[in-house]
Amino acid sequence: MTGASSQRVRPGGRPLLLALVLGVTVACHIEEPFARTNLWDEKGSATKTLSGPDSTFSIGDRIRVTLVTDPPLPPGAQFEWMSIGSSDTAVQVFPSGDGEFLVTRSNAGFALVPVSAKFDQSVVVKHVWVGQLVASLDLFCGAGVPCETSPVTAGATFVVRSTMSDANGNDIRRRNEAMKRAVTIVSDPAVASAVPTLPNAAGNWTLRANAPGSTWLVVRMDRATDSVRVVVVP
Amino acid sequence: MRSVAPTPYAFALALLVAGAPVAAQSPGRAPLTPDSTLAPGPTGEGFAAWRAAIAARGRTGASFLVDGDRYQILVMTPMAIDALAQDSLMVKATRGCMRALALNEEQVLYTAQVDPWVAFDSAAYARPAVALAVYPKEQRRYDCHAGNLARFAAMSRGALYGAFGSETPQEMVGSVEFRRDGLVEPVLLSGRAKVTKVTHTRLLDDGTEHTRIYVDPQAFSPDAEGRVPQLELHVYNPVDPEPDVMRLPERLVRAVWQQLLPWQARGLDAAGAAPTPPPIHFAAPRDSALLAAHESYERGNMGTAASAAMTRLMFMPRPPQAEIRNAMLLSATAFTLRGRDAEALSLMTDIMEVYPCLTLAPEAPESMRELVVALRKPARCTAIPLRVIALRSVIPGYGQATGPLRRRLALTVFISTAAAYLTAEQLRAYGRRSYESYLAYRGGTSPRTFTLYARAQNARTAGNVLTIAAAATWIGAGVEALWTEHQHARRLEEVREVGRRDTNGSGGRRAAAGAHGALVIAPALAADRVGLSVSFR
Repeated sequence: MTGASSQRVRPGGRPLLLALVLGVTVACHIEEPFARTNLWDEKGSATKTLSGPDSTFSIGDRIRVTLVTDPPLPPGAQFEWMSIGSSDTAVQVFPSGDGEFLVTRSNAGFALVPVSAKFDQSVVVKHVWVGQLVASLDLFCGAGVPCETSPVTAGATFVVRSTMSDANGNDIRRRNEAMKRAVTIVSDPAVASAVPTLPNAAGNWTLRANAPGSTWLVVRMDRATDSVRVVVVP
Repeated sequence: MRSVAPTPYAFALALLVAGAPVAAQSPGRAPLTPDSTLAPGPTGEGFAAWRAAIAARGRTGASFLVDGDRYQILVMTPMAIDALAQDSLMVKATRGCMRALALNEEQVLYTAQVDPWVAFDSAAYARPAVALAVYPKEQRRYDCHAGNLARFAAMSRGALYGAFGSETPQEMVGSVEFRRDGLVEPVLLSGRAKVTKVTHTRLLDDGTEHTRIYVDPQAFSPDAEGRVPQLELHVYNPVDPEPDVMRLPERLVRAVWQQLLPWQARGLDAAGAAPTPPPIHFAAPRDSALLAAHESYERGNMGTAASAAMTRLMFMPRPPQAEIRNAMLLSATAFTLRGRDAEALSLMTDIMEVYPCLTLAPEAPESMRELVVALRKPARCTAIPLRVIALRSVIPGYGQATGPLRRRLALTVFISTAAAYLTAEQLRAYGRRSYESYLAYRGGTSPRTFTLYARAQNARTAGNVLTIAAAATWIGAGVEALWTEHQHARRLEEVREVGRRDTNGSGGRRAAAGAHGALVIAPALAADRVGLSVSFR
């Protein structure tokens, strides 16, 4: 074994080692997690919004909403328009087409109703106030006769009745809610006073005849106003 | 203590031994009491005192159990006989079997008195002799002896533990003959004694006997060319004319021989002879006993040095590996200087097994240098520069492909790295396909986005994990290759020109940059060739 022996050993070679490590690191890239951009992914990062009216005022109104998505909605996309109405079923809203909902039941008390587009488990929602505003008001006494033709004795109380309807001609439901928004004025409180009139489902105003004479009762409610002349006799 | 596996082909081999007449007539039965007391003889002067000192120092010595079809042999060196002779070991063995055999405390303590070989051991005490005890094979042995040492101690007293049936005459030990390379060897002393069968609830003496012979350790010596002799025991039963031939394994023969080398080394120094200047030198060891041996060596007292060094190696704790190597080399040198080539060869064989690249200093005796060359096994005795290893490691596993012994590792690294990387790529491709399905989802079909995304992302994550695993394997293999080669080079340095005085006998030397004689293999690039260049600096 002459001459067969070990050679110089230097545990250096750092540049080479570094190059080795870098090479391996570059070659063995680690891939980032996939982006969750599918519109149907409930945990995804895709954005979906519904735009449209914030409120409706009559039974029979239609709510038209527009769906805006990022990424854009692909052709052939399958999703579902839906609304569940109010929890007490006093308000009902049904999908009636692509981005359209029909109010089939509502009342003078407004309720916040969600309308939505459902992508599997992912749901985009818009909340709309749904109710009735009084568009037409008619005050009368007794069986539809003008109040001035039915004088009232001083000291007695009497009732002024009313009919109310929304813009689509539907009777106002839950009139007490509408009466809460009403403004009542008696032109000559010495002749008669509208005290106390509490909101009621019938839509009646109770007045007290104070002294002989005549006076006007004026009621302004939402978008409607009406008045009647009251005559008090001794 | 070790047990050695049986040699199933021992009988067939024995029949093939040329010139070895199969005994047609069994030797006479051994006596129950020693018929003589062995005198030390010319080579055993002082042996009794020496072995007493060894025994006082601690337990040592080799005993081996050889299992045959019908018989079993316990081989004990004198030191092993002394180590196994302690009553406490016998009691420990029996107590270990106390529950299994439903023995009581009285029976356990009684077994300390079982020692039929006291007289024989005394008769053979003054002379180096190896004892071989032959027992009938245990039919249903209970391994309950609290360790092999206790079991061998019990066996050395003729105690066997387990369940015993009635033995046929063919299973009994009649007489024993000892042969070396087919020729009958004289037995120094022989005897027989009853076997104590420790069985369920009792100690049984049913007349079964075992036989022990004491033979000269020289019977275990290798021949001048270092070949281990073929040793056999021919065991006769009382009825069959033909013996059972049980061959002692080579490893056993060599180990027994080496156990007695410390004693034989003491005979190297002739009384009144002038000290012999050591031709090669070794670094002073840190171990105190080895240091004393080293000092004797430097003073030229070869026998004392070799004996002290090898005696130290018989005991725990083990000295550092380099000191063991130097102690063995020192001893081999001592034997060589006294013309005891067989002993030197035995030691050098062991050294060269562990250090196949060892080279001796030019000052070493020529016979030792020739021994080293003759005993050298195929091995890679060159070091590859670490830069080359680093470059090779760019290919996974190629840094490991430095020799036949690491070929499997290299292949494993390459395959595992490549497989991990390819699998990672496959997984990532599958992840991408699944992700495309996820992106193409338009609603109303199955599977839905959650499943599709989970499938894609899981595949990508698994691919990333496998990529990291592949990279870790790759980098780890590169670092391992560098470290292993660094260690290899360091080991080569340690065993290069061992014994040079100018290295303070360090058993090797650190090759500085450009050191004389350093073999360097480096990449070579020229206009007409690309390869490795080999040069001596």
